Amino acid sequence: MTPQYLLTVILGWLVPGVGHWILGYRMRGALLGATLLGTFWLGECVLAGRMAVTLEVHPIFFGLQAGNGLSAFAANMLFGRPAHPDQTEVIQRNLPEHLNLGILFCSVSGLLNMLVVLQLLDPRTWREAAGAGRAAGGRGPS
Amino acid sequence: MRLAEHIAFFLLISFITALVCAANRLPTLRQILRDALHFFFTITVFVFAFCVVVYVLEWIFIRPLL
Repeated sequence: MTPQYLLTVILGWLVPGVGHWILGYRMRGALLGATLLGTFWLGECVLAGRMAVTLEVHPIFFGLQAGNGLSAFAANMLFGRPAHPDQTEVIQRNLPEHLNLGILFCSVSGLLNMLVVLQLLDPRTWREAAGAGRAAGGRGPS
Repeated sequence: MRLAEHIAFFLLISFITALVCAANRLPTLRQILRDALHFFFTITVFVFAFCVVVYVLEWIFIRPLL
């Protein structure tokens, strides 16, 4: 495992699309980044009214949303406080209309980014990138 | 209207899933879009056909009992 390999995989998790960008797949990296980040923030800000990502209220969904990397942790830090102190016990009646869809969008984008990271972990992706002369430095997993 | 909104958002997330899966494998934008649209429409048509079958079965077997 070379440092570049680890760094690419970790950056690919933290910011969707960056891993493919580093490997030289610029168009795919941009498309993946725009799609996954757009899906996540659409779910968080537009559909769920900034209530989709919260570790304290629904930790299991946060586990799925963490696949988005920095975006999930930023959203949790900025907006993840429960709206009311006893939100875990009392049913709230003024929830956003599409809260469930917002949580779905954030969770699905997290899972899809995990799929992208799995492809970055695959040595065949690195061989293909090296064969096409794409990767800067070109040092893959081994 | 709410059902239509939900259906629209589910279709959107289905297309996004197909797009990301295709972008993960294929090299060019044209191939990615073609594969994603093909997969998306195949699934949508399949699910719609399944819904029609369930609807017809409901009309045949469930409605007479009500």
